[in-house]
Amino acid sequence: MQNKRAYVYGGLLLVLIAVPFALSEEPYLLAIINFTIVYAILCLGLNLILGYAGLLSLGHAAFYGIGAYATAILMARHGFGFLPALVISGLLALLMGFVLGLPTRKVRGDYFCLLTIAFGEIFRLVSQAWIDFTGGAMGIVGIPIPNVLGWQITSETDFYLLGMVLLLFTYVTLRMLIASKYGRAFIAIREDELAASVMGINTSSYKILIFSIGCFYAGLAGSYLAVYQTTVTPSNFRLEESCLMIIMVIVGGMGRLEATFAGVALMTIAIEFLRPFAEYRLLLIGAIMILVLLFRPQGVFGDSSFRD
Amino acid sequence: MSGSMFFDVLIVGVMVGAIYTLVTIGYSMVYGMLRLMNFAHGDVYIFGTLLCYTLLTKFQLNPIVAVFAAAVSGGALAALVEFLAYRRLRAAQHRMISMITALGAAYVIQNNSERAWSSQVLPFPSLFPAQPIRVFGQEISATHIVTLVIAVFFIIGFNLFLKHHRLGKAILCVSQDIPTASLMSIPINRIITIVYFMGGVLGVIGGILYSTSYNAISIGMGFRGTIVAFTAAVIGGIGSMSGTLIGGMILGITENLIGVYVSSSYRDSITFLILIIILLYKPTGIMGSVEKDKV
Amino acid sequence: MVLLETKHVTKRFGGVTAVKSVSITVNQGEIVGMIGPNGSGKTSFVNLLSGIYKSDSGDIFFEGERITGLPSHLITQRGIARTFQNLRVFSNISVLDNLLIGRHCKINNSLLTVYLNPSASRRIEKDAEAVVRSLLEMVNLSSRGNDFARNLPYGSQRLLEICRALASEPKLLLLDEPCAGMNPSEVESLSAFLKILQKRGTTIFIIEHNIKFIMSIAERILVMNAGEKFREGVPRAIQNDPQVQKIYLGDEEES
Repeated sequence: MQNKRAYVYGGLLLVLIAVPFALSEEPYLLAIINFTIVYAILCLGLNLILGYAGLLSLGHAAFYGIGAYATAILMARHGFGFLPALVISGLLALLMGFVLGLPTRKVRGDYFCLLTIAFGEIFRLVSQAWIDFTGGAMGIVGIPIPNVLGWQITSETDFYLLGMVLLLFTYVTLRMLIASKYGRAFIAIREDELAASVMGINTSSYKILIFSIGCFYAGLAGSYLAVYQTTVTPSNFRLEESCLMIIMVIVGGMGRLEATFAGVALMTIAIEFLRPFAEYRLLLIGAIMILVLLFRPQGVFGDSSFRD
Repeated sequence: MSGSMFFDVLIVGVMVGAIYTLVTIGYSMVYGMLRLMNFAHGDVYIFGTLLCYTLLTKFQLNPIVAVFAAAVSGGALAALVEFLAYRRLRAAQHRMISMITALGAAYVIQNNSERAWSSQVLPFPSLFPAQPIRVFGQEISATHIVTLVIAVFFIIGFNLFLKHHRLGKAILCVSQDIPTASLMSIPINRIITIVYFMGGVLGVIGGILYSTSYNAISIGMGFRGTIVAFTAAVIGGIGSMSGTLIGGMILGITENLIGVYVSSSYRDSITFLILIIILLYKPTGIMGSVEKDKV
Repeated sequence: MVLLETKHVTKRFGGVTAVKSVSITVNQGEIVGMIGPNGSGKTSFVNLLSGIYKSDSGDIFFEGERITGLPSHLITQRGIARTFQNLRVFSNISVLDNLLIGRHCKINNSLLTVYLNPSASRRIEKDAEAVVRSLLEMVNLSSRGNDFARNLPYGSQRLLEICRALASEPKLLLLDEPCAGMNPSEVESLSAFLKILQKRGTTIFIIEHNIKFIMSIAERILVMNAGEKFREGVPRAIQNDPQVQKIYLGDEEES
């Protein structure tokens, strides 16, 4: 039994490593995959917040942006290396997540959602208006391509490997969390907050914890985006992005980490197919949202608790 | 800063506040009844306003006819969204499911509107005379006064409807307590559809009043409209008509004062800031009441 | 030894006083019952004890220490666990996970351990699983460990909820109408089960409408009426008290 699992993981790993080499002639496809990786990191963190804590955060893109701008400013203006910038970006996003998570104590579910929207919008508006610091609508350009511990990133393939490492880190650390008593506590809070508190779980502190951790990974993703795109602009971090991430989490399945991969993959493929219909993009995203929630709210692979 | 300018800003603030109130009524009633944050609210009534624009400019319809047709269409769209997208989810376990659906509906409507009207800012025609008139010795634009009066007329009218008309009273019952209302053989589904419809109608009227005052209409006002409704409803407190009025007024006046005296480019941020502050310190709003979980 | 003591605890909701200056004591190792007509304040009282409601006045002491106003999770951490009148098991997760959540505050894992010493973390979790499995054995539910809680028959779900409360090794167990919806043989098993728990040192406080059950199991009975502690005494005295029978008139009585 153990052997079988090792073979599956081994095989998966081989496939994942082979991908960039197989696709080295197709940089466009590889670029799509790289973006898929970024969304996967974002959505894993968001699934923690939405699927486990039951908090609807429509401001996730703002933390993505905080990480991206932090890395951009540190690397392009102050000569930081990628690894320190990455860590600082993650921690900064975590800190801001903590700050935004504090009100969950007092603020009820749907009102908290409003709060996240407001936060996201203020982030966007400030990043557009504070030209001296954030470069305004033009953003920050000229972010250097990273050199990670001696490994100089050059090609799309290199970015893929870097992204994969980050994704793996995200997935493994989240898995460890979920498998522990903390993961169960998160589920308890989602299912029945009152009962959870009677089990000795400090629900308000845990919600803040979940939110902060989810935002940490968003910061990491933002950091990666900054070096991948070599520019960051406010248009990367609009409310639309947050909604897209929410949809990816829902389509894949709230409350189950692995399901997120499916959700991200499905939505990315769907968006790529729909590229010729770009003007219908919003409509289709909206329609997908409605249909999924009406007919299969637990997503493709999600936790059955979300079934009506 | 002259006194007359302040008076002008105040009048505009009150006018905008009245419009905001009109626009928020529909949202607030739905939320109070069903605890649904209708993210599509703004986009629905902006659709109606855009429709009115087309009826006025392209088809040269009589203003009264155009406004009426647009308002009814807006209301119908609101009711349609409820019927297609929200109704099934009313009993959903997790409330955020309906919220996300509402977001989806907002996107669908936005996209449709954008394809029909593009995302430009369109010049909405002035429906009211623009010359300044003298009130209390101060000069104010007639448009502002007329707009204010019309908005107030609708607000008061709707209030009277709720209190004295049979249908209005039924709506109030359903707002209070759905199970009890259904025991009194009030047709819940029909009432809810009517509430959405009326909310849409009032919203479109508010939208038209706003657009005719500022001679501008665009898709972007949809999202902003939703946020305005959210914020005014939160400030004033849920489930209270007077709360909606207070919330709308405070929002309109504050936004205008800060927009003129502090900075106009940060106006949107101000709205969000107000929202955040209220959510943090008085989430039940000024007139709202605290809810307790049943154990 | 006095385990739990309340002094003039009062709780108001708007104009209604749900709990009116109630003073009780529960001694270590006792099984104490609370009865009373519907709406007499029994569940509100238990909600006060478990920190779900904050009292408007009065004090609650547990093991000599003041716990008035403490939030629920801290009260549970101090050793008071409870079940709910309308059954609040986590329906969509497994029986085992329900119990493990119940054991949350006794599982000595920390975030640092999870990440810096994963093998120790895994061992801690495995140990916890072994402990809760033994709880399942006590109530003959061992075979259903991996089933979703919602798939258990109602009576088993009620037992599950009690086991979940026990998983935190409480000193005081508060049961809110544990017999509701149970058939007579299930009530019998529950009775035997509670007596075993008592022998193992758990103090039990039960709210019940099933008078026969309460009379057979409780050593002392408190009678609530209109928010006040109306009577207190041994089962036989309460059973024969005409005043007690009077307050039940017009209310459902099971005997």
